[in-house]
Amino acid sequence: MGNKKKNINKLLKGIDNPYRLPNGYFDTFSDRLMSRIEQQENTYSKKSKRINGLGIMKYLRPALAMAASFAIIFLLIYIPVSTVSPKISHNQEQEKSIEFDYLNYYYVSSNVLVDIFENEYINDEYIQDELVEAYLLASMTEYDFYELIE
Amino acid sequence: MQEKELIQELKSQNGKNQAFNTLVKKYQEKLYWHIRRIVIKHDDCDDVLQNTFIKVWNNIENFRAESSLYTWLFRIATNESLTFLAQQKRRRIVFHGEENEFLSENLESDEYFDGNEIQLKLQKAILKLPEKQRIVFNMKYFDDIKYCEMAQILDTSEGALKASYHHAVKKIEDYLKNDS
Repeated sequence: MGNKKKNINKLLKGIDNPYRLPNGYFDTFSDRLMSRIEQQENTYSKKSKRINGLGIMKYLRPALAMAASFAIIFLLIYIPVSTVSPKISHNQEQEKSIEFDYLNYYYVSSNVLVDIFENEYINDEYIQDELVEAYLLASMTEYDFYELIE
Repeated sequence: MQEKELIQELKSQNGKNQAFNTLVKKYQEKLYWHIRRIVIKHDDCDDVLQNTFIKVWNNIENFRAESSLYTWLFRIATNESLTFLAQQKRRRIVFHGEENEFLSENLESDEYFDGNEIQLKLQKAILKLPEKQRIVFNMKYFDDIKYCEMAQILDTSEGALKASYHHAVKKIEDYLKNDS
């Protein structure tokens, strides 16, 4: 390693340090540095005063942040669910009720009808006519119906 | 003032200012030249040197004296210089293999560089080295720092540093011979 340094020393013989610096640079450096540090300290103390001035907010901030995050999570889940799910249930209910009405209307069996006719408590002609009509509509085709009328 | 006393004073509330002033006066020149050879321009060097000492001021309470103060200061100065260079590279579009081109440009445009043609050539040869090799070469050749100290500053093994220096010298010699 010593030889290497000698070799390169030969090559660099007579080459001085080419870098310069402003006159008196090191005489004033520590003063400039200290004034920058003072500036930094002042800014820091101002900041810490401002933070202290906030008082209770310092302690409340984590709790508020947690509450806000829970609220955001709730909204993120609730809004998509509430916008999608009611539509589905509403449609399903409507379909079910239509189906139910349809069954009520068309599936009046002949046995039930006979039972009603035989029931002594039902004497109202209007009700009987209505039930007969319902039965006929359920069991007859359109063709049968027209034939009967003619 | 002995190093131990200086560290104690630096950590105390009352004596911190005066001890820090002593520390700055003692190491400013050595650190300046170490930084200057890495960042090249005087104005950049001034910024980095100030940042180095500000880091020392802010972190002296955490200094546990596991290494010497000198080693610790050099380590901070090296890290600050490398961080500065990384920021400079990020601001420019640097092509592969031309990482240090902007440093050669800085060298030529620096009003505090007085080198003649041969000096400029040598500095350019040094600037052609990869970053780590360049730092090792400068620390060994110009600052004459021992390998064991250098190993602590750069957090590398002595063997790796010796190899780096060997490669650096070879490259500079080749560059100077071939280009002359």
